[in-house]
Amino acid sequence: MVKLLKSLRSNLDSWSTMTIVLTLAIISPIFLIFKGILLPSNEIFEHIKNTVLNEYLYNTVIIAMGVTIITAILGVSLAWFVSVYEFPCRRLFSISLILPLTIPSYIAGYIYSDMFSFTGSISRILSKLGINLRIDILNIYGVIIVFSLFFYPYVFIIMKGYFNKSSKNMIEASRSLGKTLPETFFKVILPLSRVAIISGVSLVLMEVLNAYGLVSYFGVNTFSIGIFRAWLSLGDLTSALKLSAILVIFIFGILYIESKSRGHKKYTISTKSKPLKTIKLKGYKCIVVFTYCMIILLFSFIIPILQLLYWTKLSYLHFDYFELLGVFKNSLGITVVACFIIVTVSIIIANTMRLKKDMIFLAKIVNMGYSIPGAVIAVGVMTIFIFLDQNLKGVYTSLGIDKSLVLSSSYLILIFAYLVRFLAVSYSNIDSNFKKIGTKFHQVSRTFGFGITRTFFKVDLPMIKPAIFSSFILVFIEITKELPLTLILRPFNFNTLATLVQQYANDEMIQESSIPSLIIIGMCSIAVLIFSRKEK
Amino acid sequence: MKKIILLCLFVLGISAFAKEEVNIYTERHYDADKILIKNFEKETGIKINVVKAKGDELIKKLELEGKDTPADLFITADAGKLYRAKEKGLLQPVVTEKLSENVKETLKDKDDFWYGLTYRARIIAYDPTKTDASSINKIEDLADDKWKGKILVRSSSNLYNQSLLASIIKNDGEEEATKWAKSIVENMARSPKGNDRDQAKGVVSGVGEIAIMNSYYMGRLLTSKDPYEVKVGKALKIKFLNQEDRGNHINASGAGITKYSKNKENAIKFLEYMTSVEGQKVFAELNYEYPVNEKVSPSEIVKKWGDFKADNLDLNYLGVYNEKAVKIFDEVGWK
Repeated sequence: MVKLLKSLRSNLDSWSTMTIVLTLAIISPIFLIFKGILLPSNEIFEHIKNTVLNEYLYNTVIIAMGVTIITAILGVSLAWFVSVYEFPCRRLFSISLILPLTIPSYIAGYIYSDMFSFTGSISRILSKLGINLRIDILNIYGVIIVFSLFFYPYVFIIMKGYFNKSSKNMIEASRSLGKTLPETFFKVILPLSRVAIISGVSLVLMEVLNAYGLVSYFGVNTFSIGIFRAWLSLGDLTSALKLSAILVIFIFGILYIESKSRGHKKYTISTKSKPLKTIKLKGYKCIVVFTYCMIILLFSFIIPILQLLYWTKLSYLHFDYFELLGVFKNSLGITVVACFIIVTVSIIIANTMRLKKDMIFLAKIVNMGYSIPGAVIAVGVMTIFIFLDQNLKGVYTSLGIDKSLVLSSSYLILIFAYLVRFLAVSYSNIDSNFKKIGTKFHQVSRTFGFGITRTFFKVDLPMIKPAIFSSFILVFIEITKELPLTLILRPFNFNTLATLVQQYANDEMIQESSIPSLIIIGMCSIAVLIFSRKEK
Repeated sequence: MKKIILLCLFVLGISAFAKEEVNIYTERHYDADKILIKNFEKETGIKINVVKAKGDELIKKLELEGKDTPADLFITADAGKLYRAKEKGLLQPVVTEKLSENVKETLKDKDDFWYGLTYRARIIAYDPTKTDASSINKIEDLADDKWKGKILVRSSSNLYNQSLLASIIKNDGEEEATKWAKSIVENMARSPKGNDRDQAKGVVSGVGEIAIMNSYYMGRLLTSKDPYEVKVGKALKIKFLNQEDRGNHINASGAGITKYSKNKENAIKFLEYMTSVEGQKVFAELNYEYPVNEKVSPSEIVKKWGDFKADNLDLNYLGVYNEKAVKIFDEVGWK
């Protein structure tokens, strides 16, 4: 606090002011959640602690470790192959291997469990082949595999960017010193790319810890199940808040230890970028790499899409397309507006943070939302908005509005909640780009007498353009898939594609949920394709 | 200036002017409800506005909003949640001639805070060609050693299981209920997973022999758009339990008028409509649930299963013992 006041006095410009206002707004619901941890432990919390907490913790740790390791291996290896080698369909893989990210994990869970179920397509194909083998994937290993198949693109995207830009010089230097590509990879690139891998993996980690739908369906009790069980089954929100606070502290503990062990090494790079020269693969190596990419793409994208198409064939005649059109417009509208706001806010905060190092601790708190379960954030945001509404009653009356909960029943509450939850996605992207370009360009501009704002628009903004674009796309995908916040905070009669999917899936009408699912995937895939074209 | 602000509010989706409307918070997520709402709007000209989320999330929302809540009607898929809302002072009692006429006495709150909309039975399903279920007459019989490794049931996070155990706690006492839950865990064919349909599929595929599931999912299987699911439905037979004593466990979905409802008259009209013959037909035909209005008969598919005696337990007890039930589940290791 003292630190904050000091920095306030010493450099209060418009950027800092905006940052402080935004930060306080974003922190307030998170702060409310953390208040829960200070409350005395109650009987229900004791019950959870004594009976099931150990199992929840054990499962969570196993899943988190498994998924982290597998996504790191998949993401790094795939990104390496499509970046440095030339083989058939390389360009296609380079883009399409991002697409699994567009399939929400809860939908992926339903798809895979159905395919392997007694009536599912895999069992049918196997029995037609005369093989009477039934594979049960509804267990912790199934969870790890499905998560890994659909979350590895977080690592893949970041590593691809990293190999193409940041490490280009090193790859080429190592090669000119006579090292082969595999040697370069293990001896030079892998050790250097730790920061990039960690930033990809930590997004995966937070997604995994937050996921509810898939683990609950697979019957694997994790920490997030515990949070919901405390609230929705035992009716005790306090214990739920306490558990989520523990979860967040746990995540930040890990990330903190990691960043400490990394020390203060900094790599800023030249921003000139010619595309990396690729090496043509021949013979069996070419076949191996191609097959590997193809298998991953098959399981993480093509097969699930085929399954969805099959369900669509079963259900398309009975679908309310008129409603769907309205829902589609809703989804698209709110998502675009929210993306615009989230990316803008993240640029403002990230730009201030890199210039005002003494405010950096705020950045850590502001990004916590991504690791807090959506439903819990919803409670924090709702509390704040209702408080605001109650204090603005006079204003509403003078405007002739006879309602009292104006803000909290509007789209604003939803957009704000998205901001709290997804700021980290955009922020980490923008921030790492800022780190890459460093501050030397900025300082040069400042020594010519330009202010922060002018420098930002003339110098910084053009340089971070790719990151702005990719942030927009990533946030777009996240919001399109988002569920708990939308369910709890939406205004009356407001449906998104995700809530439509959830409504059917929840009702065990998986075939009917395929059409909105495909639209979500289609929308996000278009976003990814635009993103990949711009990247060039 | 004022105009500009109002315009902004409009853009943000804030409607500032009251109309003939009813605002509902609902946990029910069925297509049947959509159709029912459309019919009601057409008939009366009253607009129904809907927010859908989980029961406890909506309860929290109502609590936080307090007097200012826009919600008029709170609808759940479980009587226990209605009890919870009633206990928290979020509902108000309502009595009208039509409601008393429409809703069977045992399917409403005794203090008139909520009314049932539909009810479902938690039944067992088995394959009569493989399993002889004649020795299972009571839910308690499933605890028998004989069924070791044969029972299929979903997770205890599921509300329907919680209500089932709550009813056993009320009827047999806490100690017996704990013993029962423990034996069921020992008798399980596999660790609980999937949804109700998956338990039925588990029987047909031979993972286990007896599936505990809700009656209407059986109707859904039989009318599924996936021909393989229909096959599963056809292979199974269902059995109602406790027919010689208290009756098969049922749970009601229901609705109550919120304490601070601003469109109470219209909300009551909608509640009356949902429980009327016309409304009940929609629930019964489209969702294979049992109607609370005795003038309406269940759908053809449901009728084929025959009549059954339902447990007449005051459904508020499902809420009273909900927490206890979850704790027992945790203690005995029912995941």
